[in-house]
Amino acid sequence: MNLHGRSKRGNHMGLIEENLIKKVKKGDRDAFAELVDLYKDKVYKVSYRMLGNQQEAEDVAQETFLRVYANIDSYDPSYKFSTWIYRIASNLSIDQLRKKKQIYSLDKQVEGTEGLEWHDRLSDPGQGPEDQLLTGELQGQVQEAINSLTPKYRSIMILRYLEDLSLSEISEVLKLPVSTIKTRIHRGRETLRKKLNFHS
Amino acid sequence: MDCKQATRYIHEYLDEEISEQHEMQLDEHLLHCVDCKQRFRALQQTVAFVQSASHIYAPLNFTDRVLAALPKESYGHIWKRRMRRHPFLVAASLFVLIMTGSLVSVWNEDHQFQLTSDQLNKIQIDEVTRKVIVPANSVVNGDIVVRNADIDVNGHVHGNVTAIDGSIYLASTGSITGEREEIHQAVEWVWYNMKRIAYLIVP
Repeated sequence: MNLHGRSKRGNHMGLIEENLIKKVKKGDRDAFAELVDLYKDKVYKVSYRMLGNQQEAEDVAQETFLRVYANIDSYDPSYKFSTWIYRIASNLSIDQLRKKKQIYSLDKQVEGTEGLEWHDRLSDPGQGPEDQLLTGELQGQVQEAINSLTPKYRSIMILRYLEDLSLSEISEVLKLPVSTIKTRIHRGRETLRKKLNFHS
Repeated sequence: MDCKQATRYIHEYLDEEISEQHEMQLDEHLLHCVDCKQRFRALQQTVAFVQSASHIYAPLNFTDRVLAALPKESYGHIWKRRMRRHPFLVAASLFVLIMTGSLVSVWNEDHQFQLTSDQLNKIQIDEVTRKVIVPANSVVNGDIVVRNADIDVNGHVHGNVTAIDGSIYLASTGSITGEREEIHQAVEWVWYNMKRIAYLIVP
């Protein structure tokens, strides 16, 4: 199991993290601040792409780190730290998405749907004008496309194409078999293709 | 090969898990199938497009805000944290505490009251006030040594009176023909015992 934990990139990163985490376990808040700096962009990227707007993304990203701090004792150092934190970030994001859905959904059938596409009856509070300005037209289009996916598929596409995780890494983060991940990536790609409507 | 299979192979390719054999077959299919070629290109562009949007950065002050949101450390935790940071200080403090504690108990053992004299029958002991009393009109022939108590000499002592860690009170009715000496061993005693214990630890 430990083999999956090793990444091609940055074993050096692993050592820095290890030391920081040891200190954090002892209650060293300065070490925790360093850990936050190391991972804030990655975590924020996930939450931003999952939720589509800055405010919610910040809340979820912050909550992710607070959970890390609160549960640092139960973190098992034989696994990659990034796997653990990505898992927390995606789960919190998915929870947040589902929460919104429950509050606003007009169609009860949509809840708990196994479906692929996210039919938003409510206007996505996401992409407000400020967001467009901040991220640019390109990002806006990509976000729109990602928004069309249900949370399950959204998280996988984000981890694969925005965080550049391997299939086995994603499998560890989401605790799903690689075959399931693969299938969802294939379907996710097809949906995005349709949404983005590329013609060659 | 039909288009369904080709599509599967396309996804294998995009997963970077396609075998040589499958790749060859896919290439061949794409040569004559316009739909699949289009699909393949579209999927490649989709992936590239999504990947290009990966430059997202956390807001400024993000770390500060996270730190500010951490639960306030309870006093007990702050104390624990300090102790963890200064293990040597903690060890040294404990050492001093234990040393002092053991010194105190040794002191109490060593410093029991003692009275030495050949003529104890003539001397009174008041345990309540911790005093040795040579009653008025009594005569003691010989030396008296008192330890850890005061001595009131109201009578006559034909000898030396020595008080160790105590005081000698000579009443007007009393007399001492020999030497009277008060020895305050306390300070010397503490120093002596500290050295003794130190030598025990570091031989």
